[in-house]
Amino acid sequence: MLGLLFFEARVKNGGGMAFPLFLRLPWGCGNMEKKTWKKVGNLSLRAIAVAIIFTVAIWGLYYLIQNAGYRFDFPRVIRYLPAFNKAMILTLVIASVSLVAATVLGTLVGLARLSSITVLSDTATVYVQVLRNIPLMVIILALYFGLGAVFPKPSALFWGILGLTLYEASYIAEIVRGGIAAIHKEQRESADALGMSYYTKMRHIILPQAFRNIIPALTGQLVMLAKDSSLLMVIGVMELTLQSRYLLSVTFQALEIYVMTSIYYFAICFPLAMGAQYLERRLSLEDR
Amino acid sequence: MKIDSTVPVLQMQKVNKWFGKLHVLNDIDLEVKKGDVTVLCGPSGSGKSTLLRTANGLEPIHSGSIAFEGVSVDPSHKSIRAVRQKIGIVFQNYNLFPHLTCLENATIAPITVLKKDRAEVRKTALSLFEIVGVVEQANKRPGQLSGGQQQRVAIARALTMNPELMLFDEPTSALDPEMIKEVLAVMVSLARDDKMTMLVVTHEMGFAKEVSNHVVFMDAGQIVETGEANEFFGNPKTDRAKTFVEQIMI
Repeated sequence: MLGLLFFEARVKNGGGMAFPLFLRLPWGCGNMEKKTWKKVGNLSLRAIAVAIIFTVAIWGLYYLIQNAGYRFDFPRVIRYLPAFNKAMILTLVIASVSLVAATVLGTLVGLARLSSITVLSDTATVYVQVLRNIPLMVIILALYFGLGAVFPKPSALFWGILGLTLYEASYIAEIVRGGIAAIHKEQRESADALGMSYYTKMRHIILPQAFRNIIPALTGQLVMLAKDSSLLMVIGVMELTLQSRYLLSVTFQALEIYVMTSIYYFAICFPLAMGAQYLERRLSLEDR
Repeated sequence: MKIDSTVPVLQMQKVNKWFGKLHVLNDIDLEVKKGDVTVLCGPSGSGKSTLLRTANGLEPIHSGSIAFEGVSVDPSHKSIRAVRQKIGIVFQNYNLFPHLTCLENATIAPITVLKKDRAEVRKTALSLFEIVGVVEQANKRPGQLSGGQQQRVAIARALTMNPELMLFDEPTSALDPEMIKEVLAVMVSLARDDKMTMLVVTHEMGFAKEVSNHVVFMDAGQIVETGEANEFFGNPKTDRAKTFVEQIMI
């Protein structure tokens, strides 16, 4: 019944945003200021509509689960917020260290891939192909249990960040390589013709343009990196995911725990994605 | 640095180049003396742009020699950067740097390559912008400018390096008719007032007649005819040049 209501609204709106019929108030009955009013009305209506849809969905799910006999106990989980916060800080540390390191390493490997020195480009190609075709979890396990046994001094955190960085850098390298290759040959020629060195040309002409073009792909990869940091749990790094597993064994409230964990991850990744979108819009506007 | 006027600024001897099997440059001999304005013309595919681009090493050659102020122009040798710093080039499609403002376009090379003082370079660039008539566009990005304005910024960008030789690769071919005039005016004043040594690939007869010392006519990778502009366009000696001149007159 509810679904039918939404469906009809979608059709009447010409396939645009789905509006529940009961929310389509008669805005713009007069002709004057019809358009602006419609815009404002549409926007807030859309927000309300989405809010209602999700409230209804979550509420329905909640009752479904409760009717099946599950006892929700959020207060019990919320007691452990300090533990969550501590784990989130570790996740943030892992993500930000790896983010910087992987971007730098990835850029260098990407540049090496395009080098005219064949030894350099071949090495970079092999690096990228090997790292991209092994699961990240295997890389982390191999580093910690393999190399970690031979060199016992560095902590699990170190091996984890190293594995994450090496892996993500191989993806970033391909993004950077693509971005540089997409810059027109004429830009290189102009820089060469002005007598610029390779470094100056890359630093001032090619890379600034390449980075503008790859911001969407790059930030997408960086969000992936932040989420992939959860794999460090397999070597005992007490970040968000492992922490939630630990709290699960204390509270036995799996649903509540993982709802919390999801909220924490979302709170880390969503601003990253939004910031990326903002950056992209700002830079591209300045270009035109 | 004063240069002995008897030593040519640019000297090409027996230059040969192939694109695969295509012989794009066939035994080219060319000399540009200080203060010379040489116009290169010919049908498309005759190799004139390629020849121009060998002058600062953007195109490598297979045999022969090119010397700029007595220094060999060799793109695989370190010395090429020093050579390029003294040769300005203006491209058909302007090729400005789209992420920089026009002023930054003109100042980036003197600052990063010649390590000149930033404020001083800005002053020089702005006075050049004044001369070529784009001073109002200094803080805009190239994408916001018309083609003619962009090309004049490109000329100013080349001039901020204080070059000994300016290369122009069909600088007006991508422009609308009314913009061609404003770019040509800048080039004419550069030749006349600044006595700039120039090598210009163009079909603009008016420009050639007004300021050039020589016209070099190329066809199929060879220099077919050279001569003074009025004479070349008025009374070409070879048949191929005759056909060409007739065609561009229409």
